[in-house]
Amino acid sequence: MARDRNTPDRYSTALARLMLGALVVMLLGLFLLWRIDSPRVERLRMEITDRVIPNFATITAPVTSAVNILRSARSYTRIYQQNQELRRELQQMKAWKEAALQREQENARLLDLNNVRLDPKFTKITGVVLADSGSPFRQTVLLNVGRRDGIVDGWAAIDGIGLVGRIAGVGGRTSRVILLTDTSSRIAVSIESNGQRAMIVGDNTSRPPLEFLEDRETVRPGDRVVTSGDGGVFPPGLLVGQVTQTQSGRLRVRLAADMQRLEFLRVVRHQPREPISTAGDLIGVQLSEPGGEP
Amino acid sequence: MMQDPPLRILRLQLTYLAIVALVVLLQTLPLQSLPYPFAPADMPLAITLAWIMRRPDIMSPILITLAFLFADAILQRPPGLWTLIVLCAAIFLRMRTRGRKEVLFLYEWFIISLVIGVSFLTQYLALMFTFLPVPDVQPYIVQVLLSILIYPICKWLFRPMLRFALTQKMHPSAPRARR
Repeated sequence: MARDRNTPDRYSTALARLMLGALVVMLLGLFLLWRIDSPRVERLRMEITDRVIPNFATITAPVTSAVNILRSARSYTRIYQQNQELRRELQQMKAWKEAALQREQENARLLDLNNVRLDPKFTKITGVVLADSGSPFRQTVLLNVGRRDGIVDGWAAIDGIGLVGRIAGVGGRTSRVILLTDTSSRIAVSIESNGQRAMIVGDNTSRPPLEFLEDRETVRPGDRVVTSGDGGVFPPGLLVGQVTQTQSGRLRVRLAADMQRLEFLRVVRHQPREPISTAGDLIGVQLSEPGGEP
Repeated sequence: MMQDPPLRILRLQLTYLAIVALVVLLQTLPLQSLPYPFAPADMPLAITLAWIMRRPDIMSPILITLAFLFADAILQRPPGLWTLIVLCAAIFLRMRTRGRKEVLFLYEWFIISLVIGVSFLTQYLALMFTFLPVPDVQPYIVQVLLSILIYPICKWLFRPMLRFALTQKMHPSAPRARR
């Protein structure tokens, strides 16, 4: 009897079924469209993110900072230990600073001897991290600089010290950075001590593995890893991190950037090298006028 | 069956949208940029299932589609796939619960865990068969288990909000049904 009153008439049931079918077809179509023509749908997604996240960020900024303050407060409990550690580190740093100053003078002298001009095009755009990916299987962050600040897909993002990731997806006011730890991140690097080329392949762990090394024997834990600039996407020579070895003997990279708390990122404005289009002309005596040849 | 005034239904529907949007946006807060050691529960899914089991009348397919398409867009999932799976799960649960009184909670939880498990498995297979990158198995299973565990909490949390406004007046048999 309860059924009688609630059962809708046949017409509206049919309509509801039809609509359900349309919804299912539409969702399936959207998924397939994305699978086939992903860039266009991704651009749409970037626009949606661009609309939503900056507005939301102003509301949640207090939440983020409150959580961060709470975390800092927790570290106050270990303040004595930390102080001791810092003192010890400071001692070591002083020694390093002396060494660095000497190197700097030496470097300046050598640069002067070589007449090197450092590339003036290397400027940076600084952005604030608005949001992260929100999903445990993607490692990305969203910056509050976008197309209107001149950001271009593929540029490198660094924090104060080391490489963090690469721009992938630019909206009007926001841009997405794929971190080195993301599974779709592949960065060409070289080992600084011997110039070997390798790739850093993200695998969703905090220390991405070093792959495609030519000769593993010559690479030691502690060697510095920098970008190689292969492929012309990244500027060469950005610090990435140091080589470490896992228990199983696999080589991984400890990132120099502080990935724990990404707050401000700098995007390196990088103009790709101008391609050399001609193969080089013959240099010699001009034989005849170009028009006068038989 | 009991019914609510349309205005209250609309209000509940808007509340649902707001809750899912809030949960999704809170997930994107930049508190932690290191990879998680484990995968957290899929809160929007658990909330949606809890609402469907309690109030199948307000959870229209369009509502679920809107909420999950938004989540797909923000969380960088393949757009439409997870929405489609959740929609199918919702339709299945609605068909099951139609015209039924409340069942034993353990039984309901068992059904829900099956639905959650099958949903995640379907997503995994769909990603595999369309040659998309699949997530790591271990955190994925952790996510399934946590989503199942979070379900009773969601249900208990939203219970007061989802009461029928006119329970006593509309139906004499209501108290029997609740027990």
